[in-house]
Amino acid sequence: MDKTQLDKLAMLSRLEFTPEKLASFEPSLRSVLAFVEKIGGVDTAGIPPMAGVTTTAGTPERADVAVIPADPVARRAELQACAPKTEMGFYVVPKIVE
Amino acid sequence: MTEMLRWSASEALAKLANGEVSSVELTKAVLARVEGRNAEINAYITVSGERALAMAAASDARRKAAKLSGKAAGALEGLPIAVKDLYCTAGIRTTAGSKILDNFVPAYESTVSGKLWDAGAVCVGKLNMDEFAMGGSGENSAYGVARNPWDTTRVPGGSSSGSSAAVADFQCFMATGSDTGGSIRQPASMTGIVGIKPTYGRCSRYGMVAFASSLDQAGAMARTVEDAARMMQVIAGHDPKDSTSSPQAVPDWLGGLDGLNVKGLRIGLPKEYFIDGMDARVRGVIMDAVKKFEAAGAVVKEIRLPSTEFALAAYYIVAPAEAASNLARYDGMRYGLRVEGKNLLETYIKSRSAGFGDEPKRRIMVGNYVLSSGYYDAYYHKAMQVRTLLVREFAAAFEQVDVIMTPTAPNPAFKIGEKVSDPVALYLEDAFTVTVNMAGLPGISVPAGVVEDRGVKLPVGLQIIGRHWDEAGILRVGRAWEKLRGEWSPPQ
Repeated sequence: MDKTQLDKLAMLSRLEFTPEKLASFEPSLRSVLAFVEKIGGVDTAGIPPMAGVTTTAGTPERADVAVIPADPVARRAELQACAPKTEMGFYVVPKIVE
Repeated sequence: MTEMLRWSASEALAKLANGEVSSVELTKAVLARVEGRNAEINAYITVSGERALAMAAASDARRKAAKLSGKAAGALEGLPIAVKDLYCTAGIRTTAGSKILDNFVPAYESTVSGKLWDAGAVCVGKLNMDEFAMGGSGENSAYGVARNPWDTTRVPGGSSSGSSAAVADFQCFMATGSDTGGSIRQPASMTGIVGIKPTYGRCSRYGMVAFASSLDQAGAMARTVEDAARMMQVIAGHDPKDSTSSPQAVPDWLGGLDGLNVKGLRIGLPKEYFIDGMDARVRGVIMDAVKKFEAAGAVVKEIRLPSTEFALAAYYIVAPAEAASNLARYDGMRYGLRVEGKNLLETYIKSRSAGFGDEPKRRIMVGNYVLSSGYYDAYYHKAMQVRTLLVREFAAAFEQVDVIMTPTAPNPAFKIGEKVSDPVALYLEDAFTVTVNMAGLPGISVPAGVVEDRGVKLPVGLQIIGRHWDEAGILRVGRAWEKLRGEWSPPQ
């Protein structure tokens, strides 16, 4: 993996590294990727992929109905108590339209 | 240490029931132990002392009222326990071991922790862990490493490092853990306690900070199999808020715990888990345990799980891929750390770069790499195929045997710092546990014996793997092993 690919991967990951940090980080990343490359050695021809183990059929889902709290304004305040920035019940985020 | 802290959870519950001790007394004793020990062991990230005492007083009042009205008390009424810091607890900070959630106080409760409080348990606090459950030593916590009570220069395993350390150090009667690739069983093995990861889907994941959603599962950590069964009995079951939790009924695990006749039990020993280069002392302890089962009438068979060799590589593709997606939510907008940038993108990048530690960053990068265009087929798709092979091989093995036994981890607890510079060396510690998560099976680690390393006695765990949904089977075999093994206690 060259510097351009690493930079692209960092951007996809929404992460940034100082050049010094990247220099110390890169070898470990490389060794992990070298380790997982081992998987190329297994014959999987004709084997279906499995994204998750579905051990039971028909797990029920909740009805797709919005649950309105008894006091929506108070509940909103509780949920927004952890927000970095709010104003009048809204989340304040950086401007995306110039 | 007062005598009451040495009680098992089951003993403590019996004494609470007969009025020999109150929940307030028990909780005060636990809090005093935590206060005296946490600076050294660092098992707790947050101690919720005031709340614990209030919960204990409420529990004592409930017990009194229940007695008067002839009602039964809750299954864990008055018992001081602690939860891994990735279970959202309403009103108590939940960090998942990360600085990005340093100020996160959830407005809602995870289903698992909610069930524990509903059963009457008292919350002592939130337990240390590797950041986002990524690690096998506890050293990836942003809140410092938890230490192993058997030797405080060593790790207590991970990622449920605070859970294993607190239970082994008598700083709570039992604790929740979570297990994505061995994070309950491996630390249980390294601290000489019991840890059970149930079948995928047995417990709700609602309100658990997600790492790898197709692998994550809640479970119990305790000092005896009976105590672990007691916690599992409370936390298992379907939850409408988690569509991957199973609707099937939860059996009475506690009731049938002692019902196993070892005679005729078919035990499988997979050749691939007794590899060259593994710690010979660990192998010795496990083989001694197997011989005791054999002497008691069990039938031991060698079995083959040929794809085991590729399981770890497959796991370290699947888990980071899911982690990269799950951790995309930490963007500094609605909760968690925000570091302002010039625009939205820069704010995302600065927030995430400042908030995540090295291991989550590494796994996000690996995850995005294996999912990216041009690499998907060679990595992620291939890993999903290996998963199918693993499931098939386990299914074939379980046609021949009732349970599979392996060492839980290839090595006993290692020194703090010993493997920190080499992530792959640390990943290898998961070699015997990840297969169980990949196949969604239940597994339990029960203390098997001790080995001596550089003059220190260290515990080794026996892993018992069962068929899907057969928690009853592995709990019974674990309990049978406790009887064959005899008395056991972490250092006091």
